[in-house]
Amino acid sequence: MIRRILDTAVFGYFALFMVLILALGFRWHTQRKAPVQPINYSHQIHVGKLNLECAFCHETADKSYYAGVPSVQKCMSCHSAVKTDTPEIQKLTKYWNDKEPVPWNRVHRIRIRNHIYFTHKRHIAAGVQCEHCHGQLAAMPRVRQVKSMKMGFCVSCHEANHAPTDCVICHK
Amino acid sequence: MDFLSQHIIAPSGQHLKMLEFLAIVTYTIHLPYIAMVIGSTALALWLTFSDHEIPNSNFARLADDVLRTFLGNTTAMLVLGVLPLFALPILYGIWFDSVPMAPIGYIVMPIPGVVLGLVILRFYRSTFSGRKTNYNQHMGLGTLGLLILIGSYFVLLSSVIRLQDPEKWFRLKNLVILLLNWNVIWKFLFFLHAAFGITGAAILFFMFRWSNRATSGDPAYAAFVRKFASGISLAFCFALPLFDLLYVFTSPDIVFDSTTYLMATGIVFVCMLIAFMLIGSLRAGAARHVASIFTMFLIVFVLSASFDVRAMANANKEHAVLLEAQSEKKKAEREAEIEATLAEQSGSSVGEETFNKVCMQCHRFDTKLVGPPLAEKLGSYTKESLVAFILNPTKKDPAYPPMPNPGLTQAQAAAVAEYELSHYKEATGGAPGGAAPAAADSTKAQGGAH
Amino acid sequence: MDRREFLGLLTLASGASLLAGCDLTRKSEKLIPYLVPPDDGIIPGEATYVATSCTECPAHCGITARIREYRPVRVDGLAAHPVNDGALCMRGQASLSRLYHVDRLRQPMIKDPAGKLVPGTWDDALKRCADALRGNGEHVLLSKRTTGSLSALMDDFSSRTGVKREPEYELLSNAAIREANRSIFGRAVVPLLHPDRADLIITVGADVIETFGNPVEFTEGLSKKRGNGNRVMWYHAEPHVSMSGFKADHRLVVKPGSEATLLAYLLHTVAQAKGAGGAGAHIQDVPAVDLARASAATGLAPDMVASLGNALAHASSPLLVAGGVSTGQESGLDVARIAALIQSACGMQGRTIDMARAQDYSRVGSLVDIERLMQRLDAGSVGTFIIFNTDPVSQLSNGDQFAQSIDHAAFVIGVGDIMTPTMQRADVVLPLSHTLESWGDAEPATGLLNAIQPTLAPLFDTASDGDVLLRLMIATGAAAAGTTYQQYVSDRWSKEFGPGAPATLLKQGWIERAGGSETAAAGAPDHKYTFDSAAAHAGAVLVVAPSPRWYDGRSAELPLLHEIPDPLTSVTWDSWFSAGPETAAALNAKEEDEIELKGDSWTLALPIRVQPGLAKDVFVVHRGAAMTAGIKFSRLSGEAGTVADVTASRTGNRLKIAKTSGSLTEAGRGIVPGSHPHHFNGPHPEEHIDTAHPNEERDKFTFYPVPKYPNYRWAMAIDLDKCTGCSACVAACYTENNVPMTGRDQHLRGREMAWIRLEQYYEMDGSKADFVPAMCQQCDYAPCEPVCPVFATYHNDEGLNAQVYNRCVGTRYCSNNCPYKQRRFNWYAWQHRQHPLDLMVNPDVSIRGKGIMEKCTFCVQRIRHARDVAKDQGRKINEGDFTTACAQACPGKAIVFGNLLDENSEVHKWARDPRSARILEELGTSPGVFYLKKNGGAEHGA
Repeated sequence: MIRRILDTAVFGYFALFMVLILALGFRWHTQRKAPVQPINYSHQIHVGKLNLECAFCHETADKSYYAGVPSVQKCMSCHSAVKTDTPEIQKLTKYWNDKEPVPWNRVHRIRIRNHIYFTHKRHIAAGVQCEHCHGQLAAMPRVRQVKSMKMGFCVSCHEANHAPTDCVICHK
Repeated sequence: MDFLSQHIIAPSGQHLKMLEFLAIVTYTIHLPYIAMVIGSTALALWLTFSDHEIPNSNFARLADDVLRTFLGNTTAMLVLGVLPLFALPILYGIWFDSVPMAPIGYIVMPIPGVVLGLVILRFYRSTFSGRKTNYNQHMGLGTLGLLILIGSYFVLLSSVIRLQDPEKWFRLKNLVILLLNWNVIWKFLFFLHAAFGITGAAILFFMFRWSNRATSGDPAYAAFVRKFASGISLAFCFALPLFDLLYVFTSPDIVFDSTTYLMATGIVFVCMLIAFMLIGSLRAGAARHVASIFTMFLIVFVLSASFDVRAMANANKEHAVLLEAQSEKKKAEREAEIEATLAEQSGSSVGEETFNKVCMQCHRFDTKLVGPPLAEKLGSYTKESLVAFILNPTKKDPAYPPMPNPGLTQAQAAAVAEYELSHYKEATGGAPGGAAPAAADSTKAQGGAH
Repeated sequence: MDRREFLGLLTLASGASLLAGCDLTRKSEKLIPYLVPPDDGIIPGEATYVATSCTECPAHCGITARIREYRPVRVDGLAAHPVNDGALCMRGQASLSRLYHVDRLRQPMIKDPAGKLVPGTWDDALKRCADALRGNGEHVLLSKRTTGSLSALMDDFSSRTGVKREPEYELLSNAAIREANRSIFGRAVVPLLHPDRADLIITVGADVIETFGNPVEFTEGLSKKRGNGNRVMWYHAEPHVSMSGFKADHRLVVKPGSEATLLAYLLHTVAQAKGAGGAGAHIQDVPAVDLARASAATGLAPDMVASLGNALAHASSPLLVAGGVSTGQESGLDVARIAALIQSACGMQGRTIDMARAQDYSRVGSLVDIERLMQRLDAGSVGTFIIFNTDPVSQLSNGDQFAQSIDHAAFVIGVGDIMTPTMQRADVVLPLSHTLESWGDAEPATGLLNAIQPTLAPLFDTASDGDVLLRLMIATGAAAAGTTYQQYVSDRWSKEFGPGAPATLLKQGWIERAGGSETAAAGAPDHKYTFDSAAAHAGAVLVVAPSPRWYDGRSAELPLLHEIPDPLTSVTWDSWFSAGPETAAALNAKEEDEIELKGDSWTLALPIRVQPGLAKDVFVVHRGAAMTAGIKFSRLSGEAGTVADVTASRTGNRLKIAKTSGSLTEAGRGIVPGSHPHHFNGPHPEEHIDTAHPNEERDKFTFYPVPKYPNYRWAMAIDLDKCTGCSACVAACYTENNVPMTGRDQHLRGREMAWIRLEQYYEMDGSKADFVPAMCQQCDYAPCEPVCPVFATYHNDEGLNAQVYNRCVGTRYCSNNCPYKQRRFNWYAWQHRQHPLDLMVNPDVSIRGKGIMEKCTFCVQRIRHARDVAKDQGRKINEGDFTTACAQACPGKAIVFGNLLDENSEVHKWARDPRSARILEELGTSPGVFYLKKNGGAEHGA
């Protein structure tokens, strides 16, 4: 009797930890993993192989707080002719013909976006490389968030580069 | 590192995979041994100390046996303890070839410490017999060696673990910042507890199965050793899942993929098996399946090591891809050079092939695709200017997207330019700037597309 | 591991991981790109501005809409516009919330057989209308005042479809003034006033600051005059109480109905002094009134009346205007006529009064026309009745009768944006687009035209007012299919103002052309003056005044204008009687006691609010408050009303009035700048204001860190002479900063959220009233900062008490420690969830959640934007780069904002003005908001 209780206790103890670790795994899987995009667009090809400029697609990055997701028309300006036979491009063509925008999934999830004023414009004007925050996109077949994008990340860089660290510069 | 990456192992994709494997192997043969050295020394010190306070023949004898078993063999110490150490910097050095700010420098730092620690412990072991006379010197040596060893491994593990968090690399200005980090601390505590766990298991294995140190002689001693070792092993085995969890919990998101989580869970699972086996053998009152317990502990070490290497690889996935791309580019260039030279000797039109393979993605001579029809543009180019443009395209006509760099070699570019211009001449009858394509050419071009 | 992760772990451990999973997967956000990028050069995230016109009231100020991502997020006054010159009143600011009004009609509504209005389609609705319009009986169209192209289109409409166009219904139509000007000068206009050209201003009953004429324009003229220190003495005579009265240099409380007597006295005094002038014949008809009679009738001291007469007689360029409640009574026409005669006798026309730039009320009728219409309706002679974007049922005092009359029409077409009581009577309701969704134009004054152009695609299936008419015409075959109002207006623009006009209008927002002559000669006298200078009202008098918030009641549909307190009484969400202290004492009634007023045929019961400065036995109720009592007004000029001979009694009930200020006086606490011995007088020595280098002597004794300001010290200065208390700043702040509306219940708990409030402090005898706009004072030594346990509020190096909302944990220590009570706590999550109100958000300002403290931050988002622009040009932020929302909206230009360290900045000059003082300065908080003490017009002059 006592034996069984003891065994159960031991088993429960280890089982608990296994559940916890798997739960962490599940959380990671649901919200931290790089999201699967409706079209399997590869920065590795466009930036890495064809080395297109970031600003070629993300037009407003140096004009607005908002980097800008390229319009479907933009994609079609090349892909009306290039690689039209591949399935991914055919997905794209379908969106274009249905006159529907591509519902991309947001990769960089920031917990309190509502309270933060972040502008790409100023950072690009200051000469910050896109890779610094977004990682080596040239090597990403599927984009994932490589930096935590937490306040510590921002502040440490601001301090390192003597950028303003007054709270209301970013907190709105 | 350049020397290494150029002449010994070029950092290409497969090579990186191989490096990861090598790293795991190194850890597998190295860490358990060091763990046992640390554990056994600590136990020996404690036993000697207790025996010194209240004389107890069992304690004294066990201490002696433990030291014989784990510090006795100098060759083992060299092969398992020292040699793998020198492999590590090389492996990581190649892996992190041309990465700014990577903290691999810290990996080299503890190596002398480890060697020194091992040497001291060797002396400590040799002074065991004379401990009655000069107790303090004996204990002093042991403690010193132990501390040096532990300290060095704290640094070593930290620097390795920190490779998994590139976001913070540029902050690792000094040793303190390197070490003060929950993730690192949990990992190191995990290592220490695993060390005592495996030591206990190893005592059982080496003194009951491998040799008959414990069983020869009085059974009382055997029982003592069995209980003592199993108890130690069991206790620390229970602590492992906690540190495993905390370590996983404090690791940055980018190090993970499904496999890493499975490995972490696997560690807990194996610990559970170990626990049940130990409990079983304790209940049975005899040293049961000691071999498998020991093996299980080895597996724990393998899993933990694989986790770290895998995490490191995940965190720096992009870097790996870049290195791969580099090497492939180099390879392709070499082949292209050869091809081009061959072609020039044999006079076959590498220009046309390259044109059909690369340029026709976007360009035709007479029709507008992504790029402008060449017939319109070629008139304004000499061969030199065309080659220059192909090698380094710039945005010319606002009506079209900028031409991406096709990544051709000098020779290929020259061949393509040659081909295009000649084709353009015969199409326009040599009239400069004219754009009247011959039907034959266009069909030929189209044909080339398919 | 931080707190969030730890809690997260607990949740997961407790087996909730699956739930968490679902939740998170649901939360996965999308990035939706353009299909085809816009070619209008609009950059996502960058604001664009469109010049258009405000149509919330007939003044038609020019406005510019700030557009973000194809959605107007704010409206401001259009800079350099001849009417409002960049300022915008409270109602104009709030008109944005009409666009995003929750109760907006979203599609045509059609009455089903059960007599219930149900959603329908345009085709169906228009078909029914067309059939009805083909039916027999006379078809009439009743609209509120329309100008410009819309009026022209209505003429086309009635001529082509045979629908008779009724005289337009406008409650505050100044009918008496128009009638007077018509019968004397033959021009039925409401002249434009030029206070900036006057050296003496006499206003009789006309609430020139709140609603009369164009309040914004008048306020600007007045403050321009007062600003540059010229001599201007302003007398305001009124039977009730208004902001205009308290802002005047001398407030003359006259007995109700005695205005005509006073004016008659003035007229004869002037005539003796200056000669009769052009209108001599008329003047003979006006009964003579001597000083004794005048003072007896008005209840003013004889010497006051005499001095008024002298001042008027000897002023070189006086301005006298009578209107509002004074022309809205039995003797209203006499008042208007005599005022007009004085104007001509003093030669004001062409100087301080502009007959040319007049608001065109030619098509507007009076209550007489409404009565005639009702008779025709009751007689059943009306076939189809089109009620065009007006709401008589809730605005008329006899609205319920009007409602019954409506039902007698064979078919009723309602055209409106909100389901008002009037619209509920209709058989078909055609939904109107908001002005910000429409093409069109508006005419503030003759010869001046505002463009109306869309700022967003209509939110719902609605049409602009012009398009509704055109669709009706198309449906009835009166117009060619496919004609749009946009085309119509642009054609008319080039026809009326020349080919270049459309371009100018769309770019500049307005266009101007020479009007007629500014003066007018008097015709033959034809009027019998009936006012009785001896008469005195027996019982109490009820004054039904236009509301500064709801105008004639039309703006009462906007919740924001209930949330913002009434400037005089600080009442927010309730209807009330204002009654003077003596009145209350006589009734033995306290604040919030319910009082019942009985007229000949009506009773009205409301709680009272004690209003200092209100004469005995005079009650005031605002238009739009509770107007269904069937009160009888003067038939000719019923726009505003004084109703005589009412009896007041206490019902014994005590009700609650939602209001923001508990006490009416400052009780000597020295809150009003300059009203306290401690307050600093005379020019400041440096350390009082030069916060860049605070003086060591004082800083030795402070526990606070001594602020250092390397580049900027943002500061604000408010001139209490120029401030009229109009509360435009309050409304501007609400829309700029996403300040939540909390509603009546919360207001009763004292939980209003306004970041800037208008504090009113009275002398209980009504001799004086101070209006103090108060916002966070941005102290150098802010008591709120050191008590914050989480560093959510702190002092930044530009002088702001910054508030980091997502740091705040809601301890409310800061609020307890703020001597100015300028911090607001979110007791609930207030963000608007109902569509389309959820769209009314300024994306530059975060939406504060539940349990968070918020407050004014000097529009830090505007500072941020200005810094962004300045950085692009590689310079510091300069004076004039930007200003706060309140300063931008202020009609009196009473608020300046800028960098105190900039020697040339306005705020720097004002801060060093001799009148400069700060609230509760003795506390040593060293605020960043400076107040220029009120010192009255007398000291303005020599």
